This record gives sequence, structure tokens and C-alpha cells, in this order.
Amino acid sequence: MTHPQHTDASRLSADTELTAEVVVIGTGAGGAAVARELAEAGRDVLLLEEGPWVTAADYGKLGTLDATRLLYRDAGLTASRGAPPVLLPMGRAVGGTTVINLGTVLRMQPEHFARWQEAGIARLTYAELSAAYDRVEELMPSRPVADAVIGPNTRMLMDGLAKLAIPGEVLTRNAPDCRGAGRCFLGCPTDAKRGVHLDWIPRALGRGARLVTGVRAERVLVESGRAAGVEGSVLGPNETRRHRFTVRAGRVVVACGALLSPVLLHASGLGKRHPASGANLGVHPACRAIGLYDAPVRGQAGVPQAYHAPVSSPGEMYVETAFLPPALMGPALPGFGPEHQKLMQRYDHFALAGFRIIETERGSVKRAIGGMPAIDYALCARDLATVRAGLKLSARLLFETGAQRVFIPVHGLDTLESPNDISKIDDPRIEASDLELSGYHVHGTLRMGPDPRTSVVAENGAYHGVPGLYVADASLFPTSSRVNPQHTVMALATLIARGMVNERPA
Amino acid sequence: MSALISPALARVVRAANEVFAPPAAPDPVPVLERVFADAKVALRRGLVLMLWAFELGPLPYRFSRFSRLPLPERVAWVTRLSRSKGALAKTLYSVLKVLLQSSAYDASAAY
Repeated sequence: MTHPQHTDASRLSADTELTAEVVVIGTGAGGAAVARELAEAGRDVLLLEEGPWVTAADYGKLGTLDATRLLYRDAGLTASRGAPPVLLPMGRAVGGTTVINLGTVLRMQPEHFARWQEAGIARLTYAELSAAYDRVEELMPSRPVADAVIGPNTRMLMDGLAKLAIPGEVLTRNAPDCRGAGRCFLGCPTDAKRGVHLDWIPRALGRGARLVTGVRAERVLVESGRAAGVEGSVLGPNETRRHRFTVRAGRVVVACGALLSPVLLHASGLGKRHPASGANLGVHPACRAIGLYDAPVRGQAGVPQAYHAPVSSPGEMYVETAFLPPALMGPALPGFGPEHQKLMQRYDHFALAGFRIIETERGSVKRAIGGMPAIDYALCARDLATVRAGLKLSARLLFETGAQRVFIPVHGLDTLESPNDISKIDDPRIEASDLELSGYHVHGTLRMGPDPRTSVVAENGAYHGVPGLYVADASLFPTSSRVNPQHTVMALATLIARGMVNERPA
Repeated sequence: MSALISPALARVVRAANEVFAPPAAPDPVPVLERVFADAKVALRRGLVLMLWAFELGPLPYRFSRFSRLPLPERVAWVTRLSRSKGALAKTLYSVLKVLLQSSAYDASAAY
């Protein structure tokens, strides 16, 4: 993708220093929303992004591994330490994770916002948040998944949920012209899913913002107690430093996502200012069950994630539909060798039921050697019980709809031959470390609130104690949003940017 | 950047691929080279270390490196890893399974 306001830093041949009124680090949901608002208000904005600016023309025909290499940080292998390690894939491109997520955009519900208020949010109101959602939707049309692209995997699970009398809803997505290609997480091959790299970033650039890609921010500059810019590297081969890259700016917006934003602040000498910095990590740990059917299902057809159902007992969780391409289905099925190959030959006969839980215990992230995030996250007994309940429910759903066997990612219990085996999931010998989990909704690590002793960032996005420094991503969430965080991140970032517009320039 | 997988490690990867992936799977060595070509140095080093740990794992038990074991013994070794409760064994098994089966099934001709 090219644009007159875009510079690919790999073409720079020397150390570079630029100036701007506001520098925004990260071009995902938060960074794009901030840039749009500030640029439309006439501010001089410079966006920094580590990854490339690519569209369907670049990723639409790539296989799973090549798309992963192009669009994901560390080839999608980011994981937490702890029991069990949780895979936490992150986007690394202009548009951030909006390029590779499933396109679900849901408003946080008032009862869940009330938990933010219980956690100390005092100034922000749900009415303000709602108005910001409205503003976001002006440039991000979203609607419930059309009936024509709801695939057989989703229909099967909708039937199963109905049989178990569990109510659910068709999801709303930012892909109004979706044709159901079924590979959202490898980058939408038709660009029907409107990641922020397609509309929001070009809108900001059209209003005078500048974008530099191929640059890693390594340190927020703080001078005389206030933000003064960013220092980083133009990346060379294997992400080594080719040149120094500096931006002098009176305002710095950190929007690198809830794993990297706290790491950047730690690297800037700001990590120890607030005890909550890097703490309060939530990921909505997710798991799955795969059913094998006698008749073909063709689960890969249609939108991978089109329906969900909230469940509140024994813990909070959302049952969600999803499906995997062959390159990810292979490792998700148990075993190896000829038996595994026989299973893969029946790829068309699988259906997948996924779920994610709202965890009660939180993890943390800090800076490790080399500037990478060291993510500590463990599943407590209560959350383990919720995961067990999710696995049992997912297996029931699949058996209810005719599955002959069900495969679950549990060490020592990877195959359920019949519904009678479901109770084995309660075996106390199964520990948290026996599970395979992943997380797609990382949040909470620079929580906002009025009190610097218990929060890191004020409710207007301003970092406590460093004028001119702001945070605008899912790090801000004091507690879980319950639903997919993209929409709430964009709404919060919109409010933060509008607040910045109303402040006196630095 | 030099090649990620040395000739010695390529033998390990191909020996493991015979266990994890179907016979029609493409050679995983160029696939892994491509996927990790731009990866950060720490990730590349981590992968190399993991492959060596996998290769040397059987040494105290079978008095042989993994890649020099006959196929039935390699299958038995991987089966043992898959059943182990140890964190390192689980990690080695999971990483090799993900890398090699992803590489194999990314090519539709493999199954």
C-alpha cells in the first residue's frame, strides 16, 4: 500500500529525526482512532508502526504460514509463561490486530460498564461511551452476519445450543460485504472486513497525518518531567537496528496493545512509578472441542465466527463458533502418524465449538531481556473449573449434533468416544498445565482510574504524573469488557483524542 | 542473515517430519527457513535451541541422538514425549507438532 503521506523507513539511509505535534505509537484500533480524531481536528500527527502496510493484494492468496509470517508478531508464537502457557497471537502490520481478528464488533453492555464503575471509574459515563461508539460506527459500518454467509459449522452449533436451551445471538461484524471466505485471521482476502488499515488510517493521512512503517519505538522520551517524543530503531534484517529513529513531539500516545504498551513504558523508566503498571492482565482464555461426523460438515465454509452464547455458571464464559484451516487443524487434532493422517483426510467432516472464559485471576507483563514481553499468567482453580465446564458444554454440543467422536486439547484425555466420556473432564488429575489455551482479548495492563496508587492512566487517557503522555488501547480496561474489545478500544481512543483536542497544545 | 537450519539440524527436522507428518508432506526445512527468515534473533535462537534439545533428548535413554534412531524407535520416543507430564517434554512435543504438521497441511496435496 502506498500513500504520499506514508514513509517506509527501510528506505531511510541514515539516522533520522522528525518533529510532530503528536506522535502515535501503534496503528491498531486505538492508534487509528486517535489519529483520525486528531487529524480531523487539524493536529499535526505522526503515526509509527513496526510492521508493513499491506492489504488483500499482499495477503489474500498466501497460505496459512506465509500469512502468519507477514501479519503476526513473532509468527504468531507469542505465549505466556505459567501453567498452562497461553498462546497470545498479535497483529504486526498497519491496522494491528484488526487485520487478523475475526471482525466481531460489539458494544460493551451497561451492566459490564457498571463493573468498571465499581472498579473506580468515576468520570466516564456509559452515555459518553455510547456516543463514542456511534462516532466509531460512522466510519466502520457494522451489521449482524448475513444469513447467506453463516456457514454449516455455525448452523450446527446454533442447533446444538437450541437443543440445550442456551440462548445466543448472531454476531455483529465490521464486514458488511463479507462473502464468507472463511479466513479472516489470515487477513480478509477480499478486504470485506474493514480493518482500520483500510479506512481509518487513509482518512487520517488524507487530513495531513503522516505514517512511518518499519520503525520500532523503544523509549518514550521524558524531559523536565513531561513527554518529549519517542526514540526507536529503523528495523533491519531480523528486527535488528539499522538506524536510529527519533520523533520530537510534545504529546505521545502509546497504543501498542496491552502486551507491548507496558513494556515500552518500562523501557522508558516509567514502569516502577505505578504499582499497577503491567499488572491486571486479562486474556479471556479460549479453548475448543472438535467433533468428527459421519457425514461431511464442510465447517470451513462461511464466516468462522458468526454466533455466540453467554453462559454464566459455574463461571462466566461465551460459547463461540470458529473454524480452522488445514494447517491449524492438523496440530489441533491429537497425535501424529498414519492415524492422524486418516483424521485429516476427513477434514470436511469436522465441526468446532469454541469458548472463552472471563477469568477471575489476572496475570502480568513486564520487560524481559531484549525488550520482549515476559508474560506471567496462570489459571487459578476457579478458572480451571470454568474451562472444564466449557469443555464439557462444547463436547455436549457436538455430540448433540451427531458427532461420533470429540477431540479436546487436554493432555491425557484428547479423545471422547461417546457422551459417557464427558464426565472424565472432571477427573481431578487433570491440571491447568494439561490444557492448551489461547487468548485473543489481551487487556488491562495499564488500567485507568482516578487514583495513581491503584491505576496508571487517568480516565482521559493521560498517564498519571507525566504530562503529555497518553495511552489509548486495551491496556486501559480496568476489568473485562466481556465482549471482543476492538469496538470499546476505538470508542475510548476517540474520547481520549477529543479530550486532547480540547486541551491547550503542549 | 545466514541459514537458520544447519545441515545437522536439517537432518533432525526431516527425521522428526517422518514421524509427525504424512509421507506426502513437503520438505519442511525450506518452509521453516522461509517462515522464520525475518524473525527476531532471539526467536531464531530459541528455535535452534529447541531443535537441539529435541535431538539430544533420547541420548541418556537410548544412547543415541533422535535423528539416528530407526523410525520405529523415533515413533516410540515421540509417543513417550506426548505422554510425558514434564514441562520441557510437553513443550518440545507441542512445538514440533505445530511446526511440522502446519507445514505439512498448508500444502493441500499432503492429505
